[in-house]
Amino acid sequence: MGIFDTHSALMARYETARASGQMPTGVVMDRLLSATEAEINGRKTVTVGTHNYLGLAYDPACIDAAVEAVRREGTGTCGSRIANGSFSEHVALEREIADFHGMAHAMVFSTGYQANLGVISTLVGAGDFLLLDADSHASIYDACKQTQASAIRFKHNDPASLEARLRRVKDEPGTKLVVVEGIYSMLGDMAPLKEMVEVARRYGAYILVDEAHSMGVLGERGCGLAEAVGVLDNVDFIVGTFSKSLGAVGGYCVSNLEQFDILRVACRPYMFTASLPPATVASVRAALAAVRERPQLREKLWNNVNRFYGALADAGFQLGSIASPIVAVCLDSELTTLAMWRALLDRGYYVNVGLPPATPSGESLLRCAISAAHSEAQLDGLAEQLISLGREYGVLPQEDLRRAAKA
Amino acid sequence: MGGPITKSQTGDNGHAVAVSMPLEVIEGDCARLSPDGLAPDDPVVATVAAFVLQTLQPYAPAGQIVTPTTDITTDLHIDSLSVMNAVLDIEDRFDISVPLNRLAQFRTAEDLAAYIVSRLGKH
Repeated sequence: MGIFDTHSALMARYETARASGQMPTGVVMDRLLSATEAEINGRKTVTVGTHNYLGLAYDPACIDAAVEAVRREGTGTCGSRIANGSFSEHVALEREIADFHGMAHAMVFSTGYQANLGVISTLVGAGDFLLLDADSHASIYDACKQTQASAIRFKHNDPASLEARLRRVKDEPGTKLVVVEGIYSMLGDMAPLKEMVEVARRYGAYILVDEAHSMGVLGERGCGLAEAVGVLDNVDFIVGTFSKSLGAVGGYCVSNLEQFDILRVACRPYMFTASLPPATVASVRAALAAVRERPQLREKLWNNVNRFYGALADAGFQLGSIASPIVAVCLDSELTTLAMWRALLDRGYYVNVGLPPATPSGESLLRCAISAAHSEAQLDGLAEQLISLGREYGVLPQEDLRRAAKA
Repeated sequence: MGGPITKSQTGDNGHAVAVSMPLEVIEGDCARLSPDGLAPDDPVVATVAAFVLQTLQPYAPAGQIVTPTTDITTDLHIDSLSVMNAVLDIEDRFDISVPLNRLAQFRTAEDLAAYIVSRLGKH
């Protein structure tokens, strides 16, 4: 019995993918060239899988802020804030992220994963109930393992399914916390948040919204789905990340609840992790300012999204249900997905792959993450290659058949 | 949907649910579920078992029939999202919730059915 035998089934799939040379997890970018280009296998490649939604990872103001901070305050904090103390920039960032959402309190984490893991697992404990959407991110599922609360899944984006589960526990004394996401990362669809908030409130439950993929993307100010559907003042917690729209790394939670700060001495993933380094904090603050001051970035992003989603939908691809910065091409076969992914890479386009068991209904996905920094030519080029490969692999009908069908 | 449940009533989702079944009867049945397999002569147990097996069948590898003793962790990948979604249908059919930590403890379809029978009428 070897220590890795637990993973024997996974290992077989891993080896198969590795042997075939189609290894989405093994991609190395030899050199980054811009917000939307990298050199991979010696070839200049358009990156459409980086979640750099607003292009701010390469924004000159964000880079300058990071460079100045690293010179001024060093490369790292070398420990956690409860042990080593906070830098004034951590506190300033927390003030700014709270203000941005119009909330009273904020806590900053070293990754978005830790923000979900820490906040969710600390808010509920033994005797409590955590109600999570079936398609939740791994960080939310891992929070379920980290808490003694009963974790109960409801059907994806289904308020009636949530209601049935809240009704079943309505007479239990424990706290109920509902967790939903603004934009779901696999298929790019959005929660029916207004309805979810209404159901949660009717049963006296708290509600937390993970806006990792929607912050900077949705809402007039870019606060996310809660702002876009007008429930910002009626959700209890918003969790977000600095690694998508804000182009760096880190996570946060904001809230209006008075006793929120107790999490600072109760939440272990916050307490026992080295805090964000000065360069990251500085670039995130600059990126947050850009989200506030440059709504044209959001406009450009959505123009790109609609153009790309429209081109693939017109071609007949099965996509996520709604146009969003994550455009997921849904395919039946894992092998076809890996082959098309590899062919795209060979043609100079890098996208993400989503495979079961991580995908909601066992589908295989080619996931494209659209950015405001993409040019129309880059996205048109990817759409063209996808359509050509779709026909080659029998995912799309041949062009002459389509013409005949339309005639 | 599974077969009719005696002494059932209709839940708000329109499906028959066994909330009116006397608990002592159900708990007695639960004891009969293991270790020798399900007791198909009892209508409640038979209905729960049949629905569980029927719901999980599409997730079995081609050619494999899901039986009460099929290992749902290794043969069906109960931790995969799609199989866990099937469990949501089972929950709604019997108007109970199966917390994730409990779900992870079930080795066989029979274990899951036994848990459901033990929870009927209790939420």
